Amino acid sequence: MNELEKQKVEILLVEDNPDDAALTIRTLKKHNLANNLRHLEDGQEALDFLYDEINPIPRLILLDLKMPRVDGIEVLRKIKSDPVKRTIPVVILTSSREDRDIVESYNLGVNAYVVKPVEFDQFVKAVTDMGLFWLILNQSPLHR
Amino acid sequence: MQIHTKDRITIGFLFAFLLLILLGLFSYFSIRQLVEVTNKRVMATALQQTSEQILKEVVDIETAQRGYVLTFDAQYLQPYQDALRPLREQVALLETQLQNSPKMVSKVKRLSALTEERIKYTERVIGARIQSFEDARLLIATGKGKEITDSIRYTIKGIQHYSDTEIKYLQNLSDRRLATMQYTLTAMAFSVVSIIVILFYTINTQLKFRIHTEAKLREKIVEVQELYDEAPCGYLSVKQDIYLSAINQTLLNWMGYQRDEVIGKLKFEDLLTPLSRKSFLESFEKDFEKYKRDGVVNGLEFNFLRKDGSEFPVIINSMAVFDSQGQFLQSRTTVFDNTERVKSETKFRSVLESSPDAMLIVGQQGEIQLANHQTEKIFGYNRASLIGRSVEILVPKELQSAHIEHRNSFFNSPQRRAMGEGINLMALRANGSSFAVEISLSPLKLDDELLVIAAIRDVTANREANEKIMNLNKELESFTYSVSHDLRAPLRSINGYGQILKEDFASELSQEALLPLDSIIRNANKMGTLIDDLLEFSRMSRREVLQDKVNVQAMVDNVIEERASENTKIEFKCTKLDATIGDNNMLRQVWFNLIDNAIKYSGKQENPMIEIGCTSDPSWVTYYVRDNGAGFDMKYAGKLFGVFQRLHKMHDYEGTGVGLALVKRIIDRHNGKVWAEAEVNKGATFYFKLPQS
Repeated sequence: MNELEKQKVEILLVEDNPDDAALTIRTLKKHNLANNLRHLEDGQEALDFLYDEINPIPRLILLDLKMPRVDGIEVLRKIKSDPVKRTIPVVILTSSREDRDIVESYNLGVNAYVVKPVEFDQFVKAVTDMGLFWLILNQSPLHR
Repeated sequence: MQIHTKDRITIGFLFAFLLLILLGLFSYFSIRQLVEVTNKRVMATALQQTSEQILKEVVDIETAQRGYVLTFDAQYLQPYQDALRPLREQVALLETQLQNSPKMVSKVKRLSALTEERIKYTERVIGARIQSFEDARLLIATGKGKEITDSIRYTIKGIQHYSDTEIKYLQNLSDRRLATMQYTLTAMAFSVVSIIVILFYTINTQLKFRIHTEAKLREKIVEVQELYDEAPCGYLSVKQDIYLSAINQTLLNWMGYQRDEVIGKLKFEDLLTPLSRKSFLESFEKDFEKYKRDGVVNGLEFNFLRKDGSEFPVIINSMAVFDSQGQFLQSRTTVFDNTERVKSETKFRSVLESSPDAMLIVGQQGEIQLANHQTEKIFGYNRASLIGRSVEILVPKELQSAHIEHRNSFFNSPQRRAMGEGINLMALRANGSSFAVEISLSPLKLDDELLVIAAIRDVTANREANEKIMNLNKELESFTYSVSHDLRAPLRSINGYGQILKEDFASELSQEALLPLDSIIRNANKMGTLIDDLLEFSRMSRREVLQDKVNVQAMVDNVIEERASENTKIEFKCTKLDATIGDNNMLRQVWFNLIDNAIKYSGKQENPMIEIGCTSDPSWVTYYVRDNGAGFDMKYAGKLFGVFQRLHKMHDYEGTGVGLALVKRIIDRHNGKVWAEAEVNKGATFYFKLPQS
C-alpha cells in the first residue's frame, strides 16, 4: 500500500453480511461518499487494520455488532479505551434494537447508534444522512 | 405516743385506788393525831386537878397544924395524918405527869422539896407544941410556915398556868387539825368520785363502740362469706384427712352438688374424672409431701367430673395453711374453669397441625418449644426429639453462625416479616440433605416472654419452576435477539435488491414482472414491520416499568400535534387530562397506539372525530379515546387485545394486530386495566385506568 492509498481511507465499514455491506456501499456510492471506503468482514480484521501503523486513521467507522470472531462491542471497547483512536467517530450500524446493546454502546462512548431499517427507502435515507453528517458536517480533531 | 383506751381505763382505776389508799392513810394519821392531842388535853386537865389536890392537901396540913397548936387536941392531928400520904402520892403523880415537860421538871422538884419542907416544918411545929405552946408559937412566929406555903402556892400557880396554856394550845391545835381533815377528805372524796364518773363514761363509750364494731364485723363476715360463695372461681379446702372441709357455691353450681353432699363426705379425688384421678393418685404421696413442704402449688390441670357425669377442664392453684407449730391444717384451693382456654388451645393446635407449612415456636435462646406434624414430615425428625433443641440444627452448617446473629437481631426488633427476603434460603433435614425453603416470622408475646413463630415452606418445587422460567426467559431473550438480527437482515436484502431491480432495471422488465416485484417488496416490508412490532412487544414485556411523573396532557397534545398534520380532516376534542405516575415511554406508546388506532378506523368517515378525556376517583384515573369510526362487534371484544388478532380485513384497514396487544401489556404492567366499547359503524371507545398512588 503506498502513501497515496493510505490517504484515501475515509470510511471503515466493518460488516460480516455481504448483502448489507453491498447495499450500504451502493447507497454511499450514490452520494459519492464511498470513494475511500474499506470493507472489513469481522472485528478481528478491523482491529488488525487499526493497529497496523501502515494504515491511515479512518474518518468514520461503521460498525456492525453481531460478527464472527470479535464482535462490534469488543471493537468499540478497544477503540474507545485507546487514548488516540478514541477520537475516531464510531457509528454502530446494526439490526439490533435491543436496549442492552444501545445502552452498552453508549456506555462505551459510541458516537451514534443507527438501526438498519428493513424498508429500503428508509435504509438508504439512514445511511445517506449518516455519511453526510459524519464526513461532511462533522469536524474531527484527528483530521484538521 | 398513743395510749390505748384499755390502758387509760386501767390507769384511771389505779389512780382512783391510789387516791382511796391515800385517803385512808390520811384519815388514819389525822385521827391518831387528834387522839394524841386529846390525850394531852386530858393529861393537862389531870395535871390541874392534881395540883389543886396538892394545894388542898397542903392547906389541910396547915389547918390541921393550926388546930393542933391551938387545941393541943390529938384529934386535929388526924387530918394531918390523913393528908400526908395523898399529898406525897399527888406530888409523885405530878412528877410523872410532867416528866416530859422539861421546863416543869424543876418546878415539880421544887414543889416536891417545898411540900417535904412543909411537912417537916409541920412536924417540927407539932414537936414544939408537944413541948409547949410557946415553943410552937415562937416557931410559927418565924413565919417560916407561911413562907413555905406561899412558895408552894406560887409554884402550883406556875404549874397551873403552864397547863392552862397547854390546854388552850391543844384546843386550838385540835380545831385546826379537824378543819384541815375536813377539807382534805372532801377534796379527795370529790376527786375519787370524779375519776369514777370519767371511768364510767369512758367504759360506756368503749362498750358502745365495741357493740357498733361487732355489728360491722358481722356485716363484713357476711360480705366475705358472700364473696367466697359467689366468687367467679371455685374455692375448696381439704383437711389433713383429705376430705373436703369447705367449698364455695360457685364450685357447687359447676359440679351440680349440694353442700352437704360434699363436706366431709367426698375427697378431692372424687371430684376428678377417672383419667384425671388416675394421674392424680399416681403421684399423690410425693406431690402432697412436696406441697406441704413448699406451701403452694400452681397451675395444676385436671378434668372435673360433674354429678351428672359430664366433665370440664380446670386449672388449680392451692396454698397450704399451717398452725403456729407449722403443722399442716388445711388447703386453700382455687379452681378456675379452663373450658375456654382448652377450647382455644385446641383451635390453636388444629390450626398449627393443619398448616401446610412446618410451624415452629422458638424461644429467645433459639430453643424449639413447639413443632407441628408438618415439621416431622418436612424435616424428618421426630417431633418430641426436637423440643428443647436449638433451632440451628435445622440450618445448614455453613449458615448456622449467621442464623444465630439474625435470630438475635429479630428479637431486638420483633416484627412480622419474611426471613431473608430476596435470598434463596436453605434448610437441613435430619438425614443431612438440604432443601429450599421460604420462612416467615411472627413475634409471639406470651406473658412477659417473647417468642417467635416460624412458618417454613418447602419451596424446592417452586424454586425449580422459577429457575425453569428464568431459563426459558433467557432462551426467549436470545431468541428475540437472534430474530432482530438474523431475521431482519435477509428481509432487508430481499427488499434492497428488489428495489435495485426496480430502480436500475425498470426499463428491461415487463409490466408483468414489475407487479410481482412490487409484491415481493411490499411483503418483505410487511414482514419487517411484523418483526419490529413483535420485538417491541417482547421488549415492553421485559423492560422495567419506571415510576415517572407523567404529564398526560402534554403527552397527548404532543401525539395529536404529530398526527394531526397528516390528518387535517379529523377533528380532535380533548378535555383536561389528569397527570399520573408511570413509565413515560411506555405510556406514550399507549397513547400513540390508541390515537393511531382511532385515526385509522375513523379515517373513512365523512366527519371523523376523535374525543379524548378522563375521569377520576380516589383509587383510579380512567382515560378514554373515542372515535366515530368503523367500530366492531362487541362479541369479538375478547379477541381485541390478543397478539396478531385482527377484527378487520387487511385490505380495509392495515395493521399487524400487535398495537392493542402492546397497549394491554403496558397497562397490565402498570397494574391498570384496559377495555373497549363499540358498535359496528358507530365508533369505538377505548378505556384504560391506572391506580392512583
